[in-house]
Amino acid sequence: MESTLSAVQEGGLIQQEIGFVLLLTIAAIVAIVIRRVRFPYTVALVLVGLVLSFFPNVLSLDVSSELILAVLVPPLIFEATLHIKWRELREDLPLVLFLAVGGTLVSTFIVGILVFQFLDIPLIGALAFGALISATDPVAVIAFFRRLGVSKRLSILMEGESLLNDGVAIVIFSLALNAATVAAVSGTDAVDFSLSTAILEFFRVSMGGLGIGLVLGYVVSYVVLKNVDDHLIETATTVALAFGAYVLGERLHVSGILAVVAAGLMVGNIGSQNTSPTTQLTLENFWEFMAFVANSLVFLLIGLEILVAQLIVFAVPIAVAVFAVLLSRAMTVYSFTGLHNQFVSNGRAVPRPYQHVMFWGGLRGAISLALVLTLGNNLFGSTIAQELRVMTFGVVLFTILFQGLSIERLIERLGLALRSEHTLENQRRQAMAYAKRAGRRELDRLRDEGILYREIWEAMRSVYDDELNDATRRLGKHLEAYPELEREMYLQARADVLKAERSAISDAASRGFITDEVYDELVRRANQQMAALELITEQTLSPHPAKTRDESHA
Amino acid sequence: MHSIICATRGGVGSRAVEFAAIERAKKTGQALVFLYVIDTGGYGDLDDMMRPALRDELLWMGKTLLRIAERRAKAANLTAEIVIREGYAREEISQYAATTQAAVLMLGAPRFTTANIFGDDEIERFARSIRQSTGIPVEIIRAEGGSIPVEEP
Repeated sequence: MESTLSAVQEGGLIQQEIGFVLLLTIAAIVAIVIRRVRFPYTVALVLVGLVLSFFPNVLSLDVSSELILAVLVPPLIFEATLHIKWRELREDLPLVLFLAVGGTLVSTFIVGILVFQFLDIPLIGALAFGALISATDPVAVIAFFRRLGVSKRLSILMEGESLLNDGVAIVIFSLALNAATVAAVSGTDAVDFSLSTAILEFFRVSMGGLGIGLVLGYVVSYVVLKNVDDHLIETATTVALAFGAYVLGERLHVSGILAVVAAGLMVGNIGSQNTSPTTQLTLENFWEFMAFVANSLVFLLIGLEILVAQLIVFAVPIAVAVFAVLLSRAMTVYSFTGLHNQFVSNGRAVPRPYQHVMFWGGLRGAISLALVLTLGNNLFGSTIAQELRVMTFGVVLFTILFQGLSIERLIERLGLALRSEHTLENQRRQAMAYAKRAGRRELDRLRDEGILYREIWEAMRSVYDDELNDATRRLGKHLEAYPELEREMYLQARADVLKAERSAISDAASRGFITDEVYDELVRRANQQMAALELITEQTLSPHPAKTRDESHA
Repeated sequence: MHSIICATRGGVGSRAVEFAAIERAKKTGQALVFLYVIDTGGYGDLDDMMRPALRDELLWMGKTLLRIAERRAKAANLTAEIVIREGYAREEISQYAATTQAAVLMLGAPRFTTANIFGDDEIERFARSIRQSTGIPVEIIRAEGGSIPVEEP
């Protein structure tokens, strides 16, 4: 009997494994295809998931809500926190906290009330939707920022807000679900709601989670990462930390997600400083991979959960949800930043163009989808649960497709793209001269190898010489007209040579010229130089830089 | 002999001020000095590891910028001296101009249309304060051409 049961369990496990392998394979194929066309990866995943939903027998995965929250969400959060630098965050921390906590609460209520008013969804379900949809995911927007050279401060504002509002949204979402569970158990439609109790509970759960994460993150950063010099052990410890912080938080009935946030911030800011460059690189690559897998699975799973026909059936609820989300985002961003600007000096005020980008760049993504996937059919009934899933999917799709694809143009129109037309023109002229030189070298090679008849080579080379002279002259003229590009050119070249220096150090280590100790020391120094150059670059490119003491001369 | 001091940091106005200084040196026959100041003060709170790295990077940039200026002078058949100092940029420029008893101090102004948060007023204030404290004439060269002579207040 026992062996029959274990065989059944084993069969189920294999089935799950097959499903997991298939999903990863699909994600990899989509990622490969998407590299060749300019289309958002996440949208492609969702669309593929939608297509797969027509073939329910191909992928029969039994994904529980616990699995999504406990396995897929922690890596997404942990990876994002690793990149947030406290030094950069602290200058705008009050505003980030204001937006993440206050903004998420306000947004939850605005969306919840609108959805409750216009759709046939119970208040507690509408509030749960308001909470889960308030978690912003600006990853795609930040990628544009990097490409267009948008100020680092705007990135920090949006990334910091997103990171913390994920945690806050999950706490509010959990509180709403608990309230719904209590209502369901007591058999009443009305929820015994006390604002003061809810606020106290919110702070207990949030602070408890943050506290656990800080303690665990501190222990791992100062005890393990500082004293153990083995990149595999150290990486394994961070895995235990990310999942352990979540589990411990949940076991102690506080926010597991905020525990992951705090633990990630500790490791990203203190722990990684205490490790060798090898470990830093391993950690970065490992967590990037984990986030890629988790993100891919969440987007594919939601695609599998939705039937295309439901998008038409629930067109009105989706439209209401999109309207509510845009309205709440506009109200929170403009009012909160406006209020913030009243109390700070001009240098720390959030300029109006930033506010527009923060509003339109408030995309929704994996966290919202993961949370809605955890909604079982028992709490609100299968119809409402499915309606909320489709609404969430619709909002995420809208934000990624319409907002995500138009944000680049908005950034340019607002004058926030510092890699201006002058810079692009400069790149064109540089590339032209670079290409001509490569062509001329190839021509010489053909002649040297006796492939090209001398007379033809001479004629072609003279044409090339003219073209190269022309390209160089045009580049020089452009630099004369826009001398600021000289500094950009310098910064780019310096970054390239520093990278080359670091590669040479790695090369020396792999050839055995230098010991691991010397390698670590030299790479650490090279990393510091690169970080310093980044600071100079930010100061140079930022449209609203911190006022420096030496800027008053050319 | 008193020299022309041209302060540079590779900003928008650097090219214009360097060429203006070269032109003046050719006309007057005075010695030409290009000055760069390593000033890490404006980069906020830095940890103990970052500050020396930033200093090294600013030094690297300064050396490069000064060599560009030196080559520009050489192309005009002039030999220029290059000087790197470290500290609070305004104090260092002012002090250097005073101790060398410069004939004139030349500064570049960012183009009005650039994103630089300093308007011309800021530079003019800085220039006037040097003029007042050292008595050395100061000239501001605009990135788009033209100069602003700085009178004593």
